[in-house]
Amino acid sequence: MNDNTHPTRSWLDSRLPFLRPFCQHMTRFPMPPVNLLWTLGACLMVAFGLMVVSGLFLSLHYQPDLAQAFDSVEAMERRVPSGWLIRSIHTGGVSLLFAALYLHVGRGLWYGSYKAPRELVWLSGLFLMLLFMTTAFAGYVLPWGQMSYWGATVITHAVEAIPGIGHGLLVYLLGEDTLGGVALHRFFILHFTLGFIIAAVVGLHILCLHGTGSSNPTLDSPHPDRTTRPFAPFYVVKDCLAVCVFLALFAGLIFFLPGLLGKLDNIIPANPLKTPTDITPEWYLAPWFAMLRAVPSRLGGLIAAATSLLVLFILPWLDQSPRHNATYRPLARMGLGLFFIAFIILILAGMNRATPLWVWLSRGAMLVWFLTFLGLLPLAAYRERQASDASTQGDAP
Amino acid sequence: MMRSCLRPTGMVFLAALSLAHLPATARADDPAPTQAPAAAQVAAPAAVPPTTMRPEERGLMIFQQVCSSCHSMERAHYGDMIDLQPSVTALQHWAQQRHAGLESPIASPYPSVAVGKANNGGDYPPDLSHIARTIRGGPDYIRQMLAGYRPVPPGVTLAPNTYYNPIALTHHHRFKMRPPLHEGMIAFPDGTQATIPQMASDVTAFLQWADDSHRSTRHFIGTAVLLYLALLGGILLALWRLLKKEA
Repeated sequence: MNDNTHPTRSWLDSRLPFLRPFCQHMTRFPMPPVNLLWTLGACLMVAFGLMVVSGLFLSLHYQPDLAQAFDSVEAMERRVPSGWLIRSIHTGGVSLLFAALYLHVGRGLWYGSYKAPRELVWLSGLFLMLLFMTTAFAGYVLPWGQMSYWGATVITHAVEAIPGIGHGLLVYLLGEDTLGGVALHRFFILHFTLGFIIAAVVGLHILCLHGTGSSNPTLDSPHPDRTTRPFAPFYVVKDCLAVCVFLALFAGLIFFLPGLLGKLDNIIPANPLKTPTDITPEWYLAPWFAMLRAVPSRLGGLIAAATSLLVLFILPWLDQSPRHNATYRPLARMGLGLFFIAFIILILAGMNRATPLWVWLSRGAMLVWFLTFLGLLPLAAYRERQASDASTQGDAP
Repeated sequence: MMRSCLRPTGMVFLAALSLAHLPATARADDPAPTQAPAAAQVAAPAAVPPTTMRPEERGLMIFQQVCSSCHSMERAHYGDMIDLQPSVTALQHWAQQRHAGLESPIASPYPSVAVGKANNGGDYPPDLSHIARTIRGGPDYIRQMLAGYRPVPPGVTLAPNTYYNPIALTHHHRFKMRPPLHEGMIAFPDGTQATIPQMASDVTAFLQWADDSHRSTRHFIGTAVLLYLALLGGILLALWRLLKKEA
């Protein structure tokens, strides 16, 4: 190769010997014939990058102080040059990020990307999802508007439901009896720090992926395609194209439809003496809020919400079928289809008032959630393994 | 190859971005505030009368002369109005009249909530920073309500300091805000007739601006970004199809 002789390259090569094999690995990484849903990872990386950069600029102007937090955010909107732009990227970006994140996880579920040998990719990804949810929750408290305050009050007080230590733990976490200045400062530090922890876990997630490679969606189809292409340039261009469309959606939302994203109550300063008529979380945390409300006991709700995430973590061991792609697994296809509908119902339920209709709908959706992962998928796996055993035995004689 | 394609489009985008800031900076340059404060107290410095005014600019005049005598706009500073009133001297004059500076928030004229309530039949005049977005019914409600005062119909009795307004949402049309607008109360420099519907519409435009003052810049940058992404997307799509054919 020509650039072997380039003085800068050889200078770098002798000092960072891993750099060349790393670049070669990244560009020549063999990619199976994946479809457009595999570009969501690239979109997520771009969205996360935008969040970090815009967040750093916002933190230069934000005051994590009870008396100044709300005003410092208003000052960003009105007086900091381009502050409104940076803030709308940050507050709008979170919705786009979670939309891409949930589609990314949904893609992993549908195409069986959680299965051996990609368990670590799946687990690190779920851990990232939890980190993102925590970060988003902490970030939403920071503007200290009405919904920041009351949303945080409701969610932090869910901790109180833990028997015995609940109240003590809550006071320890908040630093005082109620949500106040100490807690606000802690939420700021948490939000800021988690951004960098996420960056590290993203690196881990990609490292895990590059150990085993991307899964092949065509393997279970009647016509499996085992050809691979190097990552560069074809998949680089494909990812860039998807990112372009993703950014266009992003721009459309933050520049032309900002009203869709923000809650009206959050441009009113936090008032501990005046509860808003509806306390609803942002849509991306709504499913778990709906679960907390759907279970009559507080502790039960907390356990249900935590278990709903736990079943995702043990999914690689619940579904050990050799088949990956749900398109060719009738039972899994039905189960996951119902699960996606249930997830959307839970989002809507969490965003609406807790009328009996929504509470019962969310109970039904929770039932679907647990039945899919604890019932249907293991059953599908059991039947498919039996079928494959029978076919290998049938082939043997 | 890709890099050389990207560079010119990037330049176009940057040029478009820098254009977005032009109108604001061009408007801000006006004669330096050389007048002594004492002279400013006597008469408001008369800027060159503009031939046309935007509705929100007339709305600011109404806010200065009418609304702000009871309402605050805490989230905005006096200096933030520079986009609607390009004369720094005039803004300084207004702020000084209210014992404030350009960098002070537009505070309530009442020393306390209790005094505000006592002066307004028991209801505190709400802050107007985001009222266009937060009030039920939004800008349409504000516009109709401001022009919605009617004579008391027979059979309706009103408590003292209460005014009949069938549009108002609070207290069953027995509204606590005294009718703020009167025919011809303001002489607009652009010659617009100060009728009640006209002023109601202008002040609503101002309140919408105060809630979301970057709206026009936002739409401009948004259009530029979408055009840039469409161009970039087109190039990437062409490149992708080319690579697909090669393999």
